[in-house]
Amino acid sequence: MYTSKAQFLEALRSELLKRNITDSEILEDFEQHFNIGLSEGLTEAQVCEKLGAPAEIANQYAPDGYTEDVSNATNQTANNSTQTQQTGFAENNYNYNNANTNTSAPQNNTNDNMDIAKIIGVVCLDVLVLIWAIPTLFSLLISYWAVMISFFVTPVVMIIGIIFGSQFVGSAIIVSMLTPAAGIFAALILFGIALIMSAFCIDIWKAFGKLMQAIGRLHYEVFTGKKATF
Amino acid sequence: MNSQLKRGTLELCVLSILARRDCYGYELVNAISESMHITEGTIYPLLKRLKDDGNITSYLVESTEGPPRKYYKITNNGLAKTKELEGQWIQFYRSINKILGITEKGE
Repeated sequence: MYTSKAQFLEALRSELLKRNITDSEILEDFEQHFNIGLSEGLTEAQVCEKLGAPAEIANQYAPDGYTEDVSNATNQTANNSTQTQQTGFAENNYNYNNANTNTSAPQNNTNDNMDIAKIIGVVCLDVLVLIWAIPTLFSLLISYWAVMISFFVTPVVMIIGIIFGSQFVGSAIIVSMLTPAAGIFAALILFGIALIMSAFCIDIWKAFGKLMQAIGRLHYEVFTGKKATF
Repeated sequence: MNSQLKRGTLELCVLSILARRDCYGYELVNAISESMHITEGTIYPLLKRLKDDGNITSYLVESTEGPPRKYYKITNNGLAKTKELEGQWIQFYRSINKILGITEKGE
């Protein structure tokens, strides 16, 4: 077992290197862990012991068939040959890794073809669809509001026109075409429609926002390969 | 304890703690190992994975006692993930308890 910080870190570094992992931040994390442990009164040997086996730790950093799916028992059973059996503690057996002991680059990027296909797909989506679809959708949303507002305003104007007669110039044209009764009826219908439209007027914008967010996330994930956090 | 079970729930434990407050690595390790026997070193790769998946982020805080400390913070994604895992866990232990014939209080 390891009794000094230097020993442990060196062992960890070498285990990581065996798995082609060169991220220096990993070692910094453990360096800091030691620092804090020591400042809390533990000895280096104690910290080493609590941390566990460098090989086992390095395994967890390796690209592997680790899945969220706990029912995927193959992750466990395939991995007899290597590492963790030495620890002997079955309960500490974090076998994220499976038989993929062939460690390539830390990036789980054996799917290069998939990535290129995704990029092409997204670019096609942008150029063939989104470039017209989004402006169209946006205009539709604007016109929804324009119609809704006019359906609110027009009845008001009409009613005023009916009450005050042709002194109110703007309404004269409308009013002259209809009898007062028909005019009121038409005004009420428009107003009613406007009320119904107003029930959805915010939701449609929210939906549009969600769509844009989803599109944004798609582009972010395809082009950077990282999961979007927005 | 079944290691598959531990592996699956360790992520939930880490996220759950970070959902309540930001922590630095050592703090997190201690918080968990108080209640559960784990290989402490494996928390760090788990944190890295959570970070790569966008469930947590980290930031540095200057410390008077040495180099800046790395604090971990949960993201909105992470919060959603926590709820999801919590739900799965609750469903899981309830079904197991049912099979084992262990009833909860009040049932």
